[in-house]
Amino acid sequence: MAQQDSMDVTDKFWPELSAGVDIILSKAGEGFETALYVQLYTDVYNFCTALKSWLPGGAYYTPADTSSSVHGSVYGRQLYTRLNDHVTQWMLKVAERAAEHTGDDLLTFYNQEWNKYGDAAKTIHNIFDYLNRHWIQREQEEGNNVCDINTLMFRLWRNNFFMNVRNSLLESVFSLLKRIRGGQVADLNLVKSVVDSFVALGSEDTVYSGNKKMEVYDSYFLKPFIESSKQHYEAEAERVLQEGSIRNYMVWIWDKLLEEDERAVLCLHESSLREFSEALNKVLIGKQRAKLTSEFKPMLEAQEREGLKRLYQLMKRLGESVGLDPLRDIFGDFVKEAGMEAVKKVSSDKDATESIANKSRMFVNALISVHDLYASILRESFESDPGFNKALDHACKEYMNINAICVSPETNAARLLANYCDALLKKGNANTRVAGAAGASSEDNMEQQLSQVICVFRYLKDQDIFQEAYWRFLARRLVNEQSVSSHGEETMISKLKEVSGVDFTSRLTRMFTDITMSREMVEQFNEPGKAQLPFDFDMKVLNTGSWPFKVPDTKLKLPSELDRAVDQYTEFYQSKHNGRRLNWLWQYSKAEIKMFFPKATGSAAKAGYLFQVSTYQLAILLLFNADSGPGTGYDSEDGPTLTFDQIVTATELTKEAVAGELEVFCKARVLNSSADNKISEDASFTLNSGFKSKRLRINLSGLKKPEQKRESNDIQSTINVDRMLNIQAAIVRIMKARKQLSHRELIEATISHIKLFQPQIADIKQAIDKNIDGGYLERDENNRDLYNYLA
Amino acid sequence: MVTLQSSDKRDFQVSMEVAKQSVLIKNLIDDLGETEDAIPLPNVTSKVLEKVIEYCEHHKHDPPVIKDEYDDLPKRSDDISPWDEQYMKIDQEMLFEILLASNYMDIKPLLDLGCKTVANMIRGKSAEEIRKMFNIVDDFTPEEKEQIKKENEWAEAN
Repeated sequence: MAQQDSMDVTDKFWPELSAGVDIILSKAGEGFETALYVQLYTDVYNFCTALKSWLPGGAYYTPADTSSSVHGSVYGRQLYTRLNDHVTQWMLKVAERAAEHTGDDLLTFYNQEWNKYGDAAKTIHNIFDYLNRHWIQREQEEGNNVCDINTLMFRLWRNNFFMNVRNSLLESVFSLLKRIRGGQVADLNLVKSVVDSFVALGSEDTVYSGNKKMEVYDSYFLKPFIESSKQHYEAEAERVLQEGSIRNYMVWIWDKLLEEDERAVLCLHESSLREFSEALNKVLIGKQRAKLTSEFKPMLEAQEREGLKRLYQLMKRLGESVGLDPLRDIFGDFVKEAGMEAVKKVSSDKDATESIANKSRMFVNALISVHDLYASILRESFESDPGFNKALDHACKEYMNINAICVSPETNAARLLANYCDALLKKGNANTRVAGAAGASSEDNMEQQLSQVICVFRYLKDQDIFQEAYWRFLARRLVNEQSVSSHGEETMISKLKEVSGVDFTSRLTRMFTDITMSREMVEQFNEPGKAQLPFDFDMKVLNTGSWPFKVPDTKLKLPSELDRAVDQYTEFYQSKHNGRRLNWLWQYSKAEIKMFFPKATGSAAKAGYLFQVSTYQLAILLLFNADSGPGTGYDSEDGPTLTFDQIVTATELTKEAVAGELEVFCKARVLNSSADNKISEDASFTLNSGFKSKRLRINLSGLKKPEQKRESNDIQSTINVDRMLNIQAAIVRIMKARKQLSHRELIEATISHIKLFQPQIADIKQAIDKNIDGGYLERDENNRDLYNYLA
Repeated sequence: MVTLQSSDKRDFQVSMEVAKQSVLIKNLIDDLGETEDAIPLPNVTSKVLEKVIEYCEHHKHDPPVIKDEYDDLPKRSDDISPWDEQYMKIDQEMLFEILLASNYMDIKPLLDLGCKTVANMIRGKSAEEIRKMFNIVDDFTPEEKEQIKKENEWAEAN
């Protein structure tokens, strides 16, 4: 390298080449002559190849040391150094010119120079291409600190221009931003271009590319920018809070944060958006977190959906646990409280205490209205946030099951829901009539109401009780032909299938099949030429296992007319299904009879009264018929007088059943009792020949009160038995999989295993004992706290 | 179309895709935009430029070479296509001129073709034969020759 000092050959032609570089620097973007471009390139090429070096005036200079292998290296370095020094001087001059500008003016100047310089750097890079390709590449391969010409150009900009003007430059940037924040109009694009140039400048070593360092941007721009933004908003926040309420503050920061977000996307590099936004969140939201959180409940009370949405969005910026979790807790508590309050209101309502139907309806409607209100707030204000959803679910589970109404087995939430559901699906209920009048299509309305039933069902703690009760109600509707529509029933079944599974609904489906099959059988039975009965006759054949009905606890001697029909049907049925046994459930059957009272007048005399009666009632009433047969007239005016015992003997019904039916007759004044219209085993009974009623159709078969009570007790005992079996089965399944468990572990596993209801610890203990007795489990001999599974 | 002008002021009209195989021309057009002026090439004579253009015309549809991939491949000199081989049947002076021109105009595939051709010319020849072929004066002293022979003994052994 000693030759470098002795003779710098670049002296001889550098003036020409540097003049070219100056033209490129000052004219970049405007274009210049092709010939000059090629000339400069050729100069660099010729100089580097050094086979014939160019001298001003077109002469060629042949270096004296062509034999030396290092001459290329020497010339390359000389050229590189010359360029470096020359552009450095140029940059310093630009910095001097920049000093004449301030404010927006300076930003404009900087951007103009930057744009020009970018083009120039690229062109100079290409002009010096031969240097890039050979000398620079070799130096880099040897690990020397030399960069390609393009990178060199940006390094020179950074060190000799940017570093000299950066203070006034940043001052101008911040003053422009301050004006914009203050609501004045200013050109944000000026800032954007300057910041873009910082990103492009990268760090001292490299030009920014991909994920490489952004030293200029990070340390000279981003840090002071964030700092000044924080200071600005700290002061502003204090002012706004002093001048107005926290609600005003909320609206204000909401607007400000949106504005800043928008500006940040425009001006900042994407990698720092988060850092900037977090800094602002801390100053504007984090500092007032307690105050903001305390506004949440009042806003819920007033159902300020917009405000709630804003508050949610603000707190979300602080993060899940810091910002949102406290709101979720408040939300859950609030919904629970609202639910409790709504149920309490129903419990003290006069209408609700009037009938169980009213109570069920009002109860379920109260549950739904609270749930729907907060579910809609969840959707509209909290973006259906999963955490808030969970809080809502939890609250619903609480208030729907444990509240002012659900205090006894009869008013258990599951029971009331089943009642409500029955009322919806039963013919002639008030709900559907009202809905029809309101104008909505009754089918849509039904669909919506059934969906609400399912919504409540999901929150029930005793889903099994609902299922049991639903099953019984459905059986009753089907047998009594009281379903409002088969579409409604099917809709409900398919909804239940979704939430309860096919295990539960398959039993229900079998019931529908029974009804359909029965209808077909009866149609065949009634075909002309087969059965010749003096009355209409309908029969339902139900599979014992699918229906909640029991064989009656009283015998019955059928009236002879009916007896013949039953025999004929039984014969017909056996011919189709040999070997099946039919049990007759007379307590669920009904008849319609026409009654002609001797002293009746007007239309009642001509057409008679139409009575709807149970089969038991039919058997009793027919005893009072005149001997000459139904409907033709009477031997004695009042017909026969019968004692209580005669009636019991003739019908073979139990005394209790006879007493019950006689009470209905006497109350309706169809029969007269010799004992002052009281029922006693000593009394005798005659037809009230003077019976009068405004209505010609009279229903005497309505279910009697004691039966409803019994049904309710039935459900409870069935549930108790089922639950015990369920718990026992769950324990066996768990132990089969786990082989050995401690008492505590087994109890916990059992509780989480059972989904339909919440097993009581005492019941689980009892079930464990039963399983031990049954030989499924044993207590470990060495550790009495452990259970072992016995295969 | 682009006009290229040789050092002896002859103009050659070529299509853009032909011209851009020279990285020099490509950069120039990228930097300055398309121009109707003739682009002077002071280091290339018309005789040589014509020959270079012939090469570029033939190869104008070749896929562009990806630099890193290309550098990593092991160099070989037996993969010259028949057309290229035919193209390289030229006298030694022309061969030398083409090497210089392709280096100057930065046409990497042509430079490589030239180098491979030279490599094939010297393969299997002794130093004396090579000196004769390229008209090189033997300027080593006997001591230097001895030294070189010693250093290369390992290669001779095979």
